[in-house]
Amino acid sequence: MKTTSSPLQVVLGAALGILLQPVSLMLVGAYVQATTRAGTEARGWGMMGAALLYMFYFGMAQVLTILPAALLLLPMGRHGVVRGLLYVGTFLAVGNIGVLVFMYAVSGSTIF
Amino acid sequence: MRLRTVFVVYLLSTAAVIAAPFAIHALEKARREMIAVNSEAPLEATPTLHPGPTGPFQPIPICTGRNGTEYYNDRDLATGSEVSDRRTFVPDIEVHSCAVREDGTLYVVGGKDQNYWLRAYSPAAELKWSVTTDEIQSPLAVARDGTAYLISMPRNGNTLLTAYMPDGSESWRAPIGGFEWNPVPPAIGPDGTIYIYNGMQPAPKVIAITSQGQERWSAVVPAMVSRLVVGADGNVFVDVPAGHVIAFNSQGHQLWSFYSAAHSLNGGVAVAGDGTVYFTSGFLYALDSSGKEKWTFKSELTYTRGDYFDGDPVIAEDGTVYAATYYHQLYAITATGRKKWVFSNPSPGLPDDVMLTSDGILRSRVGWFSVSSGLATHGWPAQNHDTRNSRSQEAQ
Repeated sequence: MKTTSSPLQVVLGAALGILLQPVSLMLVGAYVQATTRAGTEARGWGMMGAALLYMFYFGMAQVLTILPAALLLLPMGRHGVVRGLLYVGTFLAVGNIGVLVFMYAVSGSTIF
Repeated sequence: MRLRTVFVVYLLSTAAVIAAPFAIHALEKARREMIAVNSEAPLEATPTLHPGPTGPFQPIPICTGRNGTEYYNDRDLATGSEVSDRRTFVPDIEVHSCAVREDGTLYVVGGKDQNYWLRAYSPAAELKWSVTTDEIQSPLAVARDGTAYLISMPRNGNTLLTAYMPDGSESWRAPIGGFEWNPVPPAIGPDGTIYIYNGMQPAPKVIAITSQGQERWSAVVPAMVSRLVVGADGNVFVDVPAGHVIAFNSQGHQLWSFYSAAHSLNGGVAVAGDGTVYFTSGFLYALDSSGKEKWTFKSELTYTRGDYFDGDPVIAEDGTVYAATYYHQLYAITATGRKKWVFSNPSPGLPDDVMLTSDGILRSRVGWFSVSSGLATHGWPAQNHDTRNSRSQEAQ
């Protein structure tokens, strides 16, 4: 496996990782839109739930977006972009753990 | 860092974030199981449950006569506790609530399709009188002299308190104001003063009205009142979400305020003859006459399943307090806060209402128990004061 990457490629990967983040939310939103009727309570709850859960579990959402993107780009030799994607993913995952611990320990959230 | 290493770190962090909620959940569960609840062994064995009627037959009477006649809101208004004893008292009648005067006269509030009424029946089921009323009535309060107080709402939305004489004629009416779909029923103090709640924003208040219909005083409360009861000494207690009890003296001065901090919807309030206030808001609280906490009782499932006391506590003559929880636990608790016995209802359903007769039959939706003593005769021991639903402290 190639061990070097240009800084530009890593930055491009990080930018791609950030840009891909809303994709999972958009997928869930599209699913809610497709399975509910406009103006119904079900759609309201579905869209609100998707948005709220995304805030709590955005680190998990990257599995739906960054990992497939990284696995697609890896065979193409875009190792720098893959590296940038993984940096962003690792940062978000660690950040999400911090959010969950904060919610439990500090804010006293009862979602657990 | 090698790309392979970056990949491994990424996968590990992703696995960690997926595992984090489960780990936190397990940690929280373990923490909750360590919090002390009233899981001690009960002092007595749970009395035998006698299964209640099912189908169209109601297990809990809606009111009880002084001679023990129980009135059930089945398809008809019926008497007789056991199904085999049920006899139609008034056929084909839509009853909302009822109360019994000391002489045995049954006051019934009901109606449908925009036709609402208040009727009086003799103990022999003879219709004495019937008057039409406005829509959305509260349960009645009945004074010792037979005057019935009813809250209703005319089409203009301005809620009224109306006093009906024992012959059914209207004595007076007082506009309460506000638009309450579930008005708090009036309560009558030892001196005949009628206490009501006016939910008009921005200053909801408790109002004291003389038996002649004149306002004596009013006191602002911070939020919607769900229960209003009167102690034997004339002090007024109101239950305000979330987790507040406020006490006023009979002159309208606030005596104390207790905040449970349970962040839970309120269940109800009952007052023992010695002035102890029992209050459910998540836990069951016993407060002394100055509003200080005497003890707190927690359902065994409080922290493991989020159980909470729901509904009104009921006080027996021997001081035992009966209270039901959301997860179908029925507790008998001594006046000192010890678990006397507990009954766990395995069948799902709504939380149990509890009703205690004067001769010691504790009725719930699943059946009845024979318990150590009947409903207390002092204080405000049940939601509507007594089994007659008089909601009057005068009756003592």
